[in-house]
Amino acid sequence: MKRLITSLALTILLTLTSVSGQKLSAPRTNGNAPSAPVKLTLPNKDSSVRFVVIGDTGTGTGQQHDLANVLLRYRQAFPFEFVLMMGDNMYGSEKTVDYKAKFEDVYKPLLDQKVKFYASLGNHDDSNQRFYGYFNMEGQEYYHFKKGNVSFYSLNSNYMDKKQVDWINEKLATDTADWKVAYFHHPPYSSGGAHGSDTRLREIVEPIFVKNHVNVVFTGHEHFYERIKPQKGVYYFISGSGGKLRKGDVKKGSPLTDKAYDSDLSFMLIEVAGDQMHFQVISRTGETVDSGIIARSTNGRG
Amino acid sequence: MGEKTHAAAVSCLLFTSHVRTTKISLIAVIVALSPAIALAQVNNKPVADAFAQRVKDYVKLREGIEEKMPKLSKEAKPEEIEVHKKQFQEAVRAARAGAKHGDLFTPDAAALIRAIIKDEFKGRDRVELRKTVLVESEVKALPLRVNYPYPEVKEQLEMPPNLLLRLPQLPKQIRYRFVGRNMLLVDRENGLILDYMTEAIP
Repeated sequence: MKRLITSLALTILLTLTSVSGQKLSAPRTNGNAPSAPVKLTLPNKDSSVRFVVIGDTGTGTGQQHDLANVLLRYRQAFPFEFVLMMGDNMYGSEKTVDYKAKFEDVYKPLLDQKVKFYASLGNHDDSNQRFYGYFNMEGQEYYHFKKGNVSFYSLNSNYMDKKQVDWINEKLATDTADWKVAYFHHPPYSSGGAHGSDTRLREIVEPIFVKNHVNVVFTGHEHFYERIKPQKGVYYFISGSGGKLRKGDVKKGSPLTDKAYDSDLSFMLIEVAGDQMHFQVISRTGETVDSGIIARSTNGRG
Repeated sequence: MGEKTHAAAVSCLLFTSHVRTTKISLIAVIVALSPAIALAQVNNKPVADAFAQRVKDYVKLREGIEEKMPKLSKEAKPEEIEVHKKQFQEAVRAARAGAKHGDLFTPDAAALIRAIIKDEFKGRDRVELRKTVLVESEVKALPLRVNYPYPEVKEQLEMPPNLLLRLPQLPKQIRYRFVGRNMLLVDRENGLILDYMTEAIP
């Protein structure tokens, strides 16, 4: 009952802090999108852990560049330290020229500013990306790192075999961080019409997340943004429109959706300040399409 | 599955002892156990061990080749990754020039794997899997050629985690992968198709 009340209160809080309107109109420009002024809803404290979540980026298109430009503008106001990549970092060919055109050229200003990218692998990614210096995967398809009071688990949802499941279980069991964040490509919960929830993956990972008090899960694969209603105490976000868009793909009236945006590309700004995780979702036109706060409860559950 | 079919068989036995219709009970037990018998026929240790050994032999060969190559750093540049993959592919292809369909997925190993897949995906689950590989996947078909690279530009379909936990475990360098109803064995680094089996998904 207590959990239900807490969940309800958080849902109301998130709803109140959300920007009104389910969907915004998409810009007509291509490769040169108009951009709204930078407007932060985050506390933006120096002591916070500040980062970005972006997925399904690797197209090299004008739209991907547009979004990267907005991201760069927001960094001037919100100096995030690193970026989590939700996979599909490289669509199609993965030659040297593709790394350049679909990643390095797009995010060059951020790379020049020493922003670190921590990638996960999608179904369009070659396993050898794990050796790529800019992806900071240390040669591993799944890996862990820590920033401040936040523990990050980058998983490979393409191939969730026994070795990986054992690794996650062992690693989480001894993790004492305040916040535990997992991110990977395929979403256990989704209101997407084209793909939808990956229930087979959910059967395996959800019990592990619940048991080990993972607070937040970020995924991609679906080419839109969706904030899922908390499931068994875990917050799930889909941020898979960093370079590709599946316009209008979110099922209307889905019981899973707390908030969705499938009209244009977007990324998430995240700030973990003590027991609160603040988020703000920005579209390619620079508009805020969702924002809110997740409070971490003292039992380790967000 | 084993537990479910066993339970079904036990239920049938209880039922028959109650109504004392021996003939019906015998038929019921046979029907209930038939999938288990099918799996039991191929689910034996020698088949799995022999498959594991063949895979292990390949890994030994490819490790020997990779050790002689310049090591790829954890902070590699794209051109280093590209060159490494290409050289690795060419060296392994040359070393396995005689490799052919069925070398790793021998008929008995393929039968074992087909039985596991059939058992794991039943009813609605099977319909969903078929929809995933035959409708939703961007790669529904490929020219299946042993010792040739899996096309780099093509999607690598997510493997169902439950199935991965049941299939014979592979060394980290080797992957199962579905393409349509076929199952491939692929080297995750050099991208070569090591072997394939057709109609893996019923």
